[in-house]
Amino acid sequence: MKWLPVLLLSLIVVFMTVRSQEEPAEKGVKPDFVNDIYPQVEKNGCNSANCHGSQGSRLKLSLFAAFPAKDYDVLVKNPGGRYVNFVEPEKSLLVRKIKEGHPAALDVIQREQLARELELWIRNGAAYNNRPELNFKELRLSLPDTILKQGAKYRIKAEAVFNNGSKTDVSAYCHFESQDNEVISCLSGNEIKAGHAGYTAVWARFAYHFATIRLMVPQNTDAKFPDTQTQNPIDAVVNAQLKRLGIPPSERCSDEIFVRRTYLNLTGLLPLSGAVRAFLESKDARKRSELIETLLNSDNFVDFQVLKWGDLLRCKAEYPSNLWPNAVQAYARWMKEAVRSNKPYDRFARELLVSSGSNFRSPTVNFYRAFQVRDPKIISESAGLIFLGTRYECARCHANPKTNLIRNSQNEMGAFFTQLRYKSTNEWKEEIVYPETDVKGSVKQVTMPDGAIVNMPAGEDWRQAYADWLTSKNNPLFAKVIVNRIWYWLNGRGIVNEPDDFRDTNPPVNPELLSYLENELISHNFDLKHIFRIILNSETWQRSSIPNRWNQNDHALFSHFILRRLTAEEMIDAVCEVSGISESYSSNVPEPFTFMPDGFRAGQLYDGTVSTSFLEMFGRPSRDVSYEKDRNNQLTSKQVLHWLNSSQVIDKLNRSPNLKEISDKFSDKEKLVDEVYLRILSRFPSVQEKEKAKTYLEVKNTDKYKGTADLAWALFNTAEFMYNH
Amino acid sequence: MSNLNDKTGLTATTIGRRDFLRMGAFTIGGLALGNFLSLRAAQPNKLALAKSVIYIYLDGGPCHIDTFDPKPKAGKDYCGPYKTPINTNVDGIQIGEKLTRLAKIADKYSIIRSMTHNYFGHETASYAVQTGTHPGGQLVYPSMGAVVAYKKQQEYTGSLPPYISVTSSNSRFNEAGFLGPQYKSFATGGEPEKDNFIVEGIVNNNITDQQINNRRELLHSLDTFEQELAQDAEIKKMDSFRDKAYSLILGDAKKAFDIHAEDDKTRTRYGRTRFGQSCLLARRMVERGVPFVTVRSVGWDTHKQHFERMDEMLPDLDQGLSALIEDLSARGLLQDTIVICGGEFGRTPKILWEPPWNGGRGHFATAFSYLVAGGGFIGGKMVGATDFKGEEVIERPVYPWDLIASIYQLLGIDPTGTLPHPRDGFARVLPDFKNTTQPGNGILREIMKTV
Repeated sequence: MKWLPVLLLSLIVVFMTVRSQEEPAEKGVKPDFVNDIYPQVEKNGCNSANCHGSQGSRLKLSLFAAFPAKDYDVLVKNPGGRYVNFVEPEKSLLVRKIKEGHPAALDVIQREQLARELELWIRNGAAYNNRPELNFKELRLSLPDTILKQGAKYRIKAEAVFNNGSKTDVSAYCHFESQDNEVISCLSGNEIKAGHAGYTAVWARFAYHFATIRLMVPQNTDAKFPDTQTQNPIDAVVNAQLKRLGIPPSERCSDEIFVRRTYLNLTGLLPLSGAVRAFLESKDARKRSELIETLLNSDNFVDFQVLKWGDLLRCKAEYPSNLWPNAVQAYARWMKEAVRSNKPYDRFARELLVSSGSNFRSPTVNFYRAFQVRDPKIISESAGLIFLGTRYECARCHANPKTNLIRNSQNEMGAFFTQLRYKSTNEWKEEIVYPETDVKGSVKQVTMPDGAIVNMPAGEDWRQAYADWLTSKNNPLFAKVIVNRIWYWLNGRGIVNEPDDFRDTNPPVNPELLSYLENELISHNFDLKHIFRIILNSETWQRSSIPNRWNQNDHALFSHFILRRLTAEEMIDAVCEVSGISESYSSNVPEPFTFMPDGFRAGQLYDGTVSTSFLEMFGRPSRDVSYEKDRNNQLTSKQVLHWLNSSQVIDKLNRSPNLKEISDKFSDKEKLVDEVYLRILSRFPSVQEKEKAKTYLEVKNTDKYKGTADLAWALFNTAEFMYNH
Repeated sequence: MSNLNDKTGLTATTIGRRDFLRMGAFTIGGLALGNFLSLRAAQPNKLALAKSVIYIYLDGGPCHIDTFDPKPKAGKDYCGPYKTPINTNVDGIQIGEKLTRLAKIADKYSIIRSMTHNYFGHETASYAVQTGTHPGGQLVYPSMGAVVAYKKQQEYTGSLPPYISVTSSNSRFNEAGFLGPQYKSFATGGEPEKDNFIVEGIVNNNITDQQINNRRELLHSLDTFEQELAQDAEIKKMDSFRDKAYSLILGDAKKAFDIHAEDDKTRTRYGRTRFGQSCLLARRMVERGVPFVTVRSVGWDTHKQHFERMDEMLPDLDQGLSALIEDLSARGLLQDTIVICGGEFGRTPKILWEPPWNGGRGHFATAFSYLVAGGGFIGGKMVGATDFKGEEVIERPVYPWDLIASIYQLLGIDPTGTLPHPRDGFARVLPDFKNTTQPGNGILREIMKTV
């Protein structure tokens, strides 16, 4: 009986680490894989991508501990005793490796302990699960109070809740992440620290179970808050949240900023100087909402929306979408018509999803062609990303680290697209897309992500069933995702952010706001313009970008307008418009070559293949993927350099017929300065600015044309021009 | 991680800013800031043999039979007018008759005659040879230059961009792939063979330094908005970029592109052509430590009247490339500069004499050739072979990922290492490369120096 004390001691160690003191270990229960060993695999990073989670590793474990049964097989069953040795447990490779200094992250004492636990488990038969009654029900996170003090540290309690009602503290075994590190930062283990005021969530992963806790960090302020009795319900919910948190919103933006912002956000273009003058002069109390209405009904709005949809639908002639030029044109024409007629969004989605025929004549079949690999699973992932804002893609290679999207349900959704067939015709690059409805699928019904069960009747086009489910008013994501996208387009940040990352562990920062918009869309029969209109008319959208003392650290709750760099297309179109010298756009791949007519704007480019080095440098999306982040508006040093000193920008201004024209027209230097300011910054200069600019023109560079070009160059290089503010 | 990583200490030198952000955001109890800073300060990889790469990219695909893998015995239908390959200064190596200057320096480069992949379209083939990845996955992988720019961002501290294309960049696919646009190449644009050679953003002959300074002052006096938002992180960033930009515009970087600083003899030796002067520019870039330069030569897609075009293009290639290799060698730069030359594929060995081709060659990916030199590649060797008509690889197939893995290894970049996945997943530098130790496979050990 010499081994008994050792065994008892080890048993206690094992259970102490997994089970809380409130619940002492049951006597006589032998350690098992699921309850005792597996949590350590994840905790110690054994299965991380750099170690045994790697494809190249001989001992391959599942990333993020997503598949315990598989990993058990790998360790215990498959290799024929390679890792575990039942005869001499202490000689098991698993035990030896750990004693020999593996993993390096643990110190000697920790490794010794881990080795003892493993040895004990093997000695007891290396069982998978000795406590089946402990069926895992859920992971639960808690804090005594979810309202936190700025600067204070807390420990989140994570409990595994079992079907029999028992609970175990697993805080030490969880991986924690904060949704917004500025508000809450995760320190080591389960410790968190409250930072800037805000409202955010922390999520945890334990043995591939996830849980989220919402936390609030208010600040004390003596600032005044706007009356929440405002008419617009958007302002009511945004302001109520800000008030709870002590973050007063910024003031309403000036008319000058409003007119520029509205043009940029709805058309991607600067307003012409005449439009600015007229808007500023108008005394009409409703002039803001009238401008919104005018622009929403303009052709430029249509082009601007087609650009956004072209990005999302990967509208591109070349690799990897490979739509080819003729089909790209047909596809873009359809988008244009859909936006122009304000096609209800449910019909918009349905037409994309359920169409058959030639890629030239039934433009929406190109939805199914914009893939390098036309695999039903990949098609369903793409539809899931675009319409459900969900990133199913990760699960194809490995478990998603941030949420539990069950691998199979996604595979199942691919079933709707298994009937798709493609055939070419005698016409160059023409292709017919059609469903082969007499296909016998092995899957007869599919469980959707929301739990709904959708039938796939024999002899019918199954895409119809998918579209019915997707565009239903009861679909939990379809409407939410598009209203959140529009919010993101207009405000630079989603209520769910990023806008294509909907998951339980990434909840909306203002749930009431998102539900309100969702309900508005549904009750207005999927009228997207209505959503634009209510957002644009809100005080929230019309706030200044200049922060106050209390809201300068907020970047997520819409207390002030978020600065964002103009997009690639906006920048080049502005300099072309002001100078009067346009770019020429063409592409010599693939055939037939594409040449855009003179005067064509970058914002009108419907084919992602037609590009310039300017557009690439300023982060135009590749259209290889449908993520919003594919459009990169991050300022880089290359861009600043180009904008300061490229011949592209400088020559346009130096040779500009438009600038020549106004320098001839306005002999009064003050008026000339006014006009240049209006054209580039959409406002009149201040008294000081006017004085400085005038002095420059009268003293530094007296050449009428060159001086004006210098002034235009300087204004184009200000942050005020480069940012949407 | 492979043991290569441990040996070279690569983990230390390749932690980029993105990695740092990822660590900050996603590692619990991971590296503390102190650790990160000490990693950053790590020495450049001493075991790497190469510092820079010049990729002479023959866009459109040249024919191996006309260049580095002549097949005189295959007859007129394969060789056309190029019937008599020439001896080089290395016994047993013959190359195409138009490459007379290259023939004199064959000891300085090696020829891979067994390049192969299975992509016959320009877009998929360009993707395969430039990224070393099979087309068709869910991710668009970055090209070699973008990977090098990413991996060398701590080590390379020069003011010129780390990845430069002379004069234009590749248009077939998004060359930075999922790494993001900041890793795209800086394309010089302009016409280096002409007197008025401008480089977008850096060299602009239409504006004087005085004017630049005047404008800078004016801008500074009018940036009202920046003063209001002086505390904003974006605005601070913009300010610092602007200072950096001015140091480029008014400082040394501009001189790198001043091709007129080269004497006449040198410029003439490279050839007064777009290609020749582009090669000369590439040398000026690697002299200043730029880790990756692509010289993109266009017009190799000769479906029609192939030989008429080759009569014009091959002498230019011969002159520019031989001058580059000799010049690098004379300056002691060849030992740490890799030069590779080739296209996305080769061209059909059998000539299409009939109309409308009238002596053309089609796309051919089954077998084609690459030239490699310097930076740890041994000269005077041949790798692999094709059959007597140049239609099949009969010995030691070399796939694009093998070549690229070899280049990475010479640069001290682990070819089995990882890249930051765009959605926080896990991506490999070369997912299709299998690190095998068997001879005649994988890494081109037979023509590489060992450390």
